[in-house]
Amino acid sequence: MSLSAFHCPPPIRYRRPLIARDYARRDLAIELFDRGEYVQAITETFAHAMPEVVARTPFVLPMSFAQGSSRFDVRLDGDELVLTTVLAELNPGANATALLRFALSRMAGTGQIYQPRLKDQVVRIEFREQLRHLHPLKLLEVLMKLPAEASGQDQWLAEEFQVARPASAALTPLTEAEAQAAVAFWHRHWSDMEILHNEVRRRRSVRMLDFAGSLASNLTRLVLPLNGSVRIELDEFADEIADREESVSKRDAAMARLVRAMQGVDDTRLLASLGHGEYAINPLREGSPSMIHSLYGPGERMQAVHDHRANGRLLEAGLELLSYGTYLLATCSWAEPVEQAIAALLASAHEKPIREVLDSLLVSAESIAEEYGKHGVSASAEADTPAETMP
Amino acid sequence: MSKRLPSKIESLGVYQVFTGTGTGSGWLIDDRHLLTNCHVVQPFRDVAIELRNRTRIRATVRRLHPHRDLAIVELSEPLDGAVLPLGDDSLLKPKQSVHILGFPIGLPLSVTEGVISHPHQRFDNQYYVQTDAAINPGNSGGPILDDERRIIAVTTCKLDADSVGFGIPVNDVRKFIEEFRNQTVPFGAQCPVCDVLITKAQRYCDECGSNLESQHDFADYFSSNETDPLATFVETALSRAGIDPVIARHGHQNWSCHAGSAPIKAWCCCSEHLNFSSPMVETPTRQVNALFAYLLDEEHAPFSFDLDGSIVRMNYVIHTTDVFSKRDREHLIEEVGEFIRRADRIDGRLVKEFGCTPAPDSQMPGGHD
Repeated sequence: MSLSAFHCPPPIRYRRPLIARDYARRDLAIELFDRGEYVQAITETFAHAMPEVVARTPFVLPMSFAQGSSRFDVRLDGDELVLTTVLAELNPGANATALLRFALSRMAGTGQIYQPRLKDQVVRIEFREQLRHLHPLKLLEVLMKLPAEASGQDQWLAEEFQVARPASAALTPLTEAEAQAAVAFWHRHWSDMEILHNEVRRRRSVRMLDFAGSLASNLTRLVLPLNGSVRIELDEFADEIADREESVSKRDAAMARLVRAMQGVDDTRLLASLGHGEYAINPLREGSPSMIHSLYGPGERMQAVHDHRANGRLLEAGLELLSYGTYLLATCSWAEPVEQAIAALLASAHEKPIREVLDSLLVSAESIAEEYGKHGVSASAEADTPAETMP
Repeated sequence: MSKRLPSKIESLGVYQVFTGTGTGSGWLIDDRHLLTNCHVVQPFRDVAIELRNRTRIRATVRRLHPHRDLAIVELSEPLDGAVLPLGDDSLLKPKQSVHILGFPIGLPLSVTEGVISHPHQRFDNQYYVQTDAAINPGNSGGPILDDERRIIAVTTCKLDADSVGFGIPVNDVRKFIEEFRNQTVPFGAQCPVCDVLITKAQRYCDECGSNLESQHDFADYFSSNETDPLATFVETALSRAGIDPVIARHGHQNWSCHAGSAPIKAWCCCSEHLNFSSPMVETPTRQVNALFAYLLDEEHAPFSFDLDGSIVRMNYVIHTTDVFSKRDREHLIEEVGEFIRRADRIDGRLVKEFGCTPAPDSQMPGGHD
């Protein structure tokens, strides 16, 4: 693979813009709780956690919200607040024993205040607490963790254990054009990753393996609204490749298995795994200037890129810059200008001579760091400051 | 191991010491007293000693020698482990074999071997027996033996460098023990400069005039130690449930004990959660569906079960905001009590009704112990 072969198509996944959380509402929730105004405290906590939803519809209990393929019910049960979602129904033919073992060993546990529960053959994951014990920080922790965990697992559980999901949230299927673009991206991406991995092996570079693994998974997450077992498989391989505690040979083997496994996903299975979900709570982290600064700002990372370039390791330099960009867009939500700037950086690495591409990537990266990588400094105030000079 | 050391080291009077900050080792100087390091027991006046059958007894700190890092605790009941004889460190030679007994990283009693690297190494203005034998956290306070099974030093510390460990020479230890036997006051700490016994909080030593407060946090030895709110909460809850919190201490924000047959563990895993867990039984290998359905049944709320490998654990997770909130603290303490009582009831039921076997930490008949 050469740098000119890199292609980042426009994401098929819907954009998840940054809507900053209002921390004053969280603090108000704590004050209300301390005053004994429990229901108002819950309202403010939800307004903090899901500002878009509460802005659209006034918060009234009982309420229901969708998080990807999971649907959550929130209700008052006597003096308790219950937040629950159905994970699976143990219908005839389901591999019930394996599912229950999975729930007990992977979903239940210490260190979390919500647990899976079974009633009438239905496995739910549930949080239940008396209002007078429902400190807003406790509720917030549940809102930030439980929906993400449930929506990450439920579709996979149905595929893996042949269980029904009677109360799931529907995902919007891809349009014909989106489906075609998704299939085309999928085949090209994993073919590119196979070539890239061969290059990693030829150069015997552990650092390059790190970045190849990151690019392989994050570009997929950025472009496709991927769910279910394919998503879980991708995430598990990506974790294995990134595990610095593991031996290099095992991490390298995981990269090879990732590429093979993803190339083995046929179009039918791929399309069944794709769908646009509604997310009441943004599943992406809030992007921050410090994240941009740590990747594209002056420091060890950019120094390494410059060193690669100076020593003629152009592929390594370009790969690192592209990996940072896909990581930022795949895992965080950003204000539109920031998102566009990073997307433009990724788009610039396409069908150009390799050195020219690298120069363009470096200029874009340093410009992004200069403009969006500083806390509390507006772009206009920075206009007179000379830009970082490249070596 | 040397043929002169008994093959069953379990018969030797060397025991594990547990406090609210960690664990260490100690050895019997007679059937009622154990010698260990000062840094193992500080800042506590009451500690727990674990016996071979994993039960624990209380011990009270009687003497401290902060400068020489020695302490003597009095046991709440006599122990029958073999009291090891004291040797003479003036006879030690380089390359002489040594055997270190103790509880490295909390493991059961074990022995490591090496040689004396230097019999009288001066380090940090004191003399030590330097050895290359492996010393790990948890070994502190344990005996270093020669081939004749005599104590020649007490393990105290090691350097970050490989194979550089230190023991307090036995002649210093013998002097400390003899002084203790000749004294009658219940508690005292020796002045770091002149060794005179200090029995109450004071700014200067009456004998040598040293400023005691500026050395070794001397004032702390005579004041009750500060406990954090989480530890206070857990120990109050354990106490209400009839469990001695001193006996249950298992290091920093970590407790372990038994309620009847059920093992109970408590720990803080992060800043948000205080966990109580009882790893009570192991699952049967077949016909587990009914067991799993029972474990996940919502009737257990607010408690829950999980599987740690094949071990069934009953859990209760408390959010730390509840611990720091003064309202309903009593309710939480009662819930912890209910968790402990229920764990003791349910483990037997899981064995009888679902074919489980007692977990390694269980005290049910048929357990691994």
